[in-house]
Amino acid sequence: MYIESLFERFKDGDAYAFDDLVVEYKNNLILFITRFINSVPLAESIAKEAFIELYRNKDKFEDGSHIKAYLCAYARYRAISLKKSPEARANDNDPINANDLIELENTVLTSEEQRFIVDSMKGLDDDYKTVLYLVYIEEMSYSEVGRVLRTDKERVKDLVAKAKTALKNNI
Amino acid sequence: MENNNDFLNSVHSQLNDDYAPENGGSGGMGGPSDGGVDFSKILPVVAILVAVVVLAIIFVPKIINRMNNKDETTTETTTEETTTEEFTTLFIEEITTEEETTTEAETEPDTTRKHRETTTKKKETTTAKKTESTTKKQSRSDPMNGIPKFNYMGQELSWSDFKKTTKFDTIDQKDFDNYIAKVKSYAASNNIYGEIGSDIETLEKRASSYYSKSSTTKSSETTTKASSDETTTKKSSDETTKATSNETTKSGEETTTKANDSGVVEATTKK
Repeated sequence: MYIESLFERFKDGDAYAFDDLVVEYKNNLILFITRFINSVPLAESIAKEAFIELYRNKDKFEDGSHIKAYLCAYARYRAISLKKSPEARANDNDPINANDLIELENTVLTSEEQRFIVDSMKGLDDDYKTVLYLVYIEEMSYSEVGRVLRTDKERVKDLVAKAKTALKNNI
Repeated sequence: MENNNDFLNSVHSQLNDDYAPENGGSGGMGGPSDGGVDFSKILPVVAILVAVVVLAIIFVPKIINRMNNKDETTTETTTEETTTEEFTTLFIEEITTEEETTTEAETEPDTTRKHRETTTKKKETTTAKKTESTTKKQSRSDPMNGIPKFNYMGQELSWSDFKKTTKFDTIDQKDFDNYIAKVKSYAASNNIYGEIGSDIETLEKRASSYYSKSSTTKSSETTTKASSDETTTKKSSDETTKATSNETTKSGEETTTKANDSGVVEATTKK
């Protein structure tokens, strides 16, 4: 809820609230982007772009309720587009910097339960990982997940059910 | 990995670049020609352009169809081909037109439901309030499950267990009264008084009879103790008296008989 209220403060004219929002959510967003792109620096530049887009379009949002979904949706869209770029392809075969990833996970995953879920997700299908991450780590509703993945709520429900079964078998 | 300050500075510098006035003009459409247009030079270019357009008309729908049928299970969509501005516009259009339904709360995790509830509160519309109350009702389908629990010697005792295992001799009357008051107010606010009202009344009757008799028992108990103290000279008689005085705490009826018993004991000791 903090992100949403920060956005509303920013929309109401508090310029510092935007900085707070960026600092507060940047690691979550970068960690989410690393699901699609195998490079933390590239994920960082996509995250920056997403925040800039949010800044530019702030007046188009009625309130802060869809901000997380917007940032994640934009980031995913850009990550998928850039995945085909030579820079991203160059990183495809390289494993992501483990220290960077651990640092990110330590700041984003605050509870033991969240760590357990993320650890158990390893080896699952990418779509399952993404949907579980958005539901259980980002705590998004099915509609919001649908907006991020550019699909409908029913499809998300179906994916979550399948992902849960896969996760159960994985544990 | 960049730290927060570097990251923020980078965002700010990019934002500043975006809002800075552009350098240089956009360029003209070309200088005025000295003579007429030479169609022989333009014709091949036009022909190529026409050919490209025709090919695009023929093949683009086929490619799109193939992409749609490629893999229905993947969540990746063709939005990759839209520009960033189009993406944002599409996203905002979607969120403004899409209606939130109350059925969502049934399948969503609690945290997300809470999140939406708070958001709807902010909007402060009557419809939002209705949605919230519906959601709350749905989430707690059986109000019987929400009856407050009784703290019994460090353990939480559910209402049904409390009814079955109540031992008034181990429960302070104040605690009992407080708990019953809690249950009553919960039952009234959740419209379940009809279901548990009779249980509450039975318990109250039992409790009041116990606690009132308990006070008289205590006084008779002290009398018994006094008389037994006077007469106890032998070990055997001591033990008998203790046993009977312990038993007196069990119920009011027993107390009277035990009082008689203690009289008998007294007679025995006299012997």
